[in-house]
Amino acid sequence: MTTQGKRFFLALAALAAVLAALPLVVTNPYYLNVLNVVALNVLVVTGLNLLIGFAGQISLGHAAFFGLGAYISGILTGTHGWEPWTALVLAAAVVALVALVIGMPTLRLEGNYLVMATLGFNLIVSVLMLQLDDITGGPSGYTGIPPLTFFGAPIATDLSFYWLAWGAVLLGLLLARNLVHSRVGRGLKALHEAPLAAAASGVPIESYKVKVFVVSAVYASVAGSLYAHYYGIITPKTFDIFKSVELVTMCIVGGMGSLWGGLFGAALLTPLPQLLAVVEEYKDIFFGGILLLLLIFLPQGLVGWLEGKRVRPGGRAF
Amino acid sequence: MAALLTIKGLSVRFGGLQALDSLDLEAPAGAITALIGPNGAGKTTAINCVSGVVAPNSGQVGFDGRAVLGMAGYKLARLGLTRTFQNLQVFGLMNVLENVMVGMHAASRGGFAAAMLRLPLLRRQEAAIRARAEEVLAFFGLDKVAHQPAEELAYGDQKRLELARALAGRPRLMLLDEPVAGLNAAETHELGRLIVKIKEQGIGVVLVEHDMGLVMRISDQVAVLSGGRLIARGTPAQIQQDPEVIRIYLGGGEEFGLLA
Repeated sequence: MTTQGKRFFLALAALAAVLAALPLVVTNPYYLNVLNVVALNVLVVTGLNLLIGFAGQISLGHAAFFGLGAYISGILTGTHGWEPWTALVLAAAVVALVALVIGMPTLRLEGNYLVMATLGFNLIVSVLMLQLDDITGGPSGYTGIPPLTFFGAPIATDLSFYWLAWGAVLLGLLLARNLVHSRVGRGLKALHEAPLAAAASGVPIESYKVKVFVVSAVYASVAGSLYAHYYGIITPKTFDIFKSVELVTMCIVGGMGSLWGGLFGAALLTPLPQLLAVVEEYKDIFFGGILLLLLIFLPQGLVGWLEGKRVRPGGRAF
Repeated sequence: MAALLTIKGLSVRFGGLQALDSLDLEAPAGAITALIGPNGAGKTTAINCVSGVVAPNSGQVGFDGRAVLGMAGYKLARLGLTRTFQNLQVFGLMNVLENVMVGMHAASRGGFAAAMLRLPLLRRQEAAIRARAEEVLAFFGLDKVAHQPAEELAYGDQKRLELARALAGRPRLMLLDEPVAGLNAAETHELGRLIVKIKEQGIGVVLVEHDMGLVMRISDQVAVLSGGRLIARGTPAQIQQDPEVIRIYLGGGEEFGLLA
């Protein structure tokens, strides 16, 4: 194993140890709840980072994939009595298909058409969640979603969900790390930096862009399904475009192209609106402002900045 | 020598400019075919057509008996046709070793799912990719800078890195677009020696170059383009005596080393 590989697994083991110890200290269910929301955000941001940080493509629609995962899981289990894990898998498959349909035409074009397409997509999904109230429950939300189960036992408490959500994060990080350090991951970085040379080296650019978009959407979908079963109630507001901006901000705060960066970004920004009432009230302005300031002053993100990573002068921020 | 690359009647028009006018050219394996001519003669356009970067208006390109015109660049790489770029196209933020490992893309297998699950096949392959990349880096004398970001390399090293990346996947034909442009005499000499060694591995080389000294020294055959048309073809010795070529380079003859 390379030193790089060893370092990752050491860090992952350290994270696992901290996560295992945290519930001993944090017993207040409110804080456990915050940690659980952090975990779900980390999961989405990890997938988003593969797309933004490695392949250099921006999506402003990941809240919609997050929401589709939540609503499909919720409705299948709540209205149609499906088994939750089966619903989670089916939701992920449907979201993968939707991402494929959006990604195929837009990622073929040069320039960032994906931003526009995903933004529009998120708006449409939000409207559907609001308007199809026979199915989705409309603005007041969809209720009565059963919890996930573990060998028949419901994962209903904040603590049991904590183990599930952070377990999913560790798995998600591991899979993403494997991808990044593979021929495919190198291909993604290459197509971002010098597309012509990447193609000449044998990297199927269009297909890789579409596939990484699909993978990142699946991360969001799984997080959404978990979210739905955790809360038991979901509302359209949770999955609007402002949530998408929030996710992109978390990705950039931590540092694009750094998987740990996604973790830090989500861990740092998720609790702020919950802990500071001022931030809660002006949440959207807050995240928009952070995004703006970062792109101007710290485009390499926090982790990138700590590692002394530079962004090429005049180079692309994305 | 059987031709590995066959170009027939290749024509490209950019607006009112006839960049290539019915070009015929063949390049065999295990030989260096130089493509020379004044600026704007259509040399890079020819390479761009062959490598799928530019779509010609008409013509045919055959690679190893297969029609490849219009084929995507990554598919050509899988068939064993790689190239370098006149304007450096290194992956600046990746390190030198990774740059060359990307060059192994066409010669390796495994998609997203296999990569995320890190299947045993991929782990073994990863070791082979790394070993090959290190071997190629050593060949180009870049092994000492293997772990530096490519953008931090000196210009000459970046030029060699482009060649290393193109060679890594064991191609059958390499298109080199001005590989020594901007290099000093010593660097040029050294790179020329390496290009000859690449040819000796049985790889076909198409060399677009302005450095006439280098072209005449290492090429097996030379094709001269002017205004998009092929005006002469032959061995370096024949080309240096071709009256049409001399006329075109008149005044620039000495500068290009043609009469030297």
